[in-house]
Amino acid sequence: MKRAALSVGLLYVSVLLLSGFFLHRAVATDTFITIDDYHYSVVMGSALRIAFGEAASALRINFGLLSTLSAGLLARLFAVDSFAGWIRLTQSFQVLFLFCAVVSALAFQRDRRLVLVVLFVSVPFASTVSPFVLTPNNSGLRYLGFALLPLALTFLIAGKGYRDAIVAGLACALFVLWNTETGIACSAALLFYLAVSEFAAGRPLSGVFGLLCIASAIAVAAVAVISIASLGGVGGLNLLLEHLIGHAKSDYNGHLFDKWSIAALVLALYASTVVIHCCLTVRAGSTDRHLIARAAIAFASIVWFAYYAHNSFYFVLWFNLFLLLFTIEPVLALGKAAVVGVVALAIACNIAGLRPVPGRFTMNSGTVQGLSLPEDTAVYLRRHADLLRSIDALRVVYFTGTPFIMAVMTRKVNDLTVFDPFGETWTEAQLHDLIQDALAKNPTLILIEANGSPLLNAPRQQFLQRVRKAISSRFSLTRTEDGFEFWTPPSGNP
Amino acid sequence: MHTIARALIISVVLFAVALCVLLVPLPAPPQFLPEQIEATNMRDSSHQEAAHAAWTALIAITCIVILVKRKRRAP
Repeated sequence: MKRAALSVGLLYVSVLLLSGFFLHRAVATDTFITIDDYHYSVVMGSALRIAFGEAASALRINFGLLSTLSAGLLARLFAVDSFAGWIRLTQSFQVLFLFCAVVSALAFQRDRRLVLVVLFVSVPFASTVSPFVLTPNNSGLRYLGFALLPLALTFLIAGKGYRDAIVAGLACALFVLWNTETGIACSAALLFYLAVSEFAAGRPLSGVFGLLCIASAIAVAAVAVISIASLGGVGGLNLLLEHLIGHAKSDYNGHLFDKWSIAALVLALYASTVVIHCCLTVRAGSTDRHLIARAAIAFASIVWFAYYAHNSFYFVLWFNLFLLLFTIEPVLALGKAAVVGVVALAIACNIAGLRPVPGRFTMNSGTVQGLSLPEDTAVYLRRHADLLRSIDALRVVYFTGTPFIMAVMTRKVNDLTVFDPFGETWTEAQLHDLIQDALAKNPTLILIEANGSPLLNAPRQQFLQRVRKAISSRFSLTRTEDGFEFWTPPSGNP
Repeated sequence: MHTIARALIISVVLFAVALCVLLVPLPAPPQFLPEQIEATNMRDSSHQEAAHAAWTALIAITCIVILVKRKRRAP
């Protein structure tokens, strides 16, 4: 019976993990523009440019230096040259996320029940056919730090004092450089563990403060050193922070009360209770390092709620659920019924949150770039790309509705700081910077996706109208061909 | 009282206090391009973010107070 249940479980895991590698993404044109190409442009655009051989120092990296470098270098190593190839890369990071989560669970508690809970609860997220494969900012690529946090805490549990401060500092740097937002939550957890465990061990308050200072100094120094090695100087660091600061200032997508608020409230109170319970227990004389490590993970969850406040979607909340799984060891110790109850509850949350959508992937053969797009869109994309590829004018800047697939098809990218002009330009000030950046390159030709293109929806049309208005004092429209408007300076001759 | 019950009561109180931030008037959010608002369905979340910041700070302060109180009591 036990063996049969395990076999069914492993079959379930294998199907969800492997099936995506053998299927094609099937998508309607409008969804492709707003979901697939939009997210791959904003997240993977800089990785694509790194794969093309550009230096990271010239790019705006939106979702973390090390994650972007890793994706770019892997794409170059495995000669990823199609949109479907980039989807495969994201799917690989999904599998890596699950693998790291399972290894972390095993190292953290050495309890098979926790490993099984983490495996079964995480596999719908990590599935290679999950919606997160299509939005890499919500995939295992970005969230790998959360999967590795319990492993980092395991290293801290094994040591103490200055050794722990050094390990915590280095781990903070790596987490922040992998992805800034998740890195901040992981760093908070590591510093919480360092402070409370040393306090519990009898170190005086000034000594604890000193250790935190050492860990923080090491983290800052390591971030600077790795950035200099990767970007060629600390000047490039602002490229990493730009996105984070932009988010912190932009205040978008909050919902005061919706159906996820109830789940958020339950998880928030649970996380807070775990942390305060730990402090009360330490005050009573406990030095249980596993208890403090579990509270540290709950602390990471509390910090991660900042992102949920900012961007209130179920997939952001899912990571609170994931992190808090590592704190349920005492519940699992109650017996088999507790394990089954926890798994059933968490899988129910998964099903409610991740809602399987049929038809996302298909066995039909791809029509373009390994994707199953409508045939007329595929034909248009090929013709569009052929035209862009054939232009050999110096210093071309182009604005298209689907920058990622266009760059993959033509291997041509704009020499601008941002990869996706529409996706990375939110305010008037950013639009001004974008136009200045483009004009500073002294282009001999600007191509703009023509109105009526199937690759443009209403917001993109409005945005390109602003671009036309901004360049019209120095460039004039000379002709339209295969979906591109040709804008040249008065003396230009493309 | 059991430690877990005490921790839960403290958590509820901290959460309730942090929610009061939702009632505080905040400066207007930045102006986005209308097409971006249409494309990403943006809504102002500055109140939620401020409430979260207050909640995190309250938890951190509470942890420090709980731990430091023990140190002062120790002989």
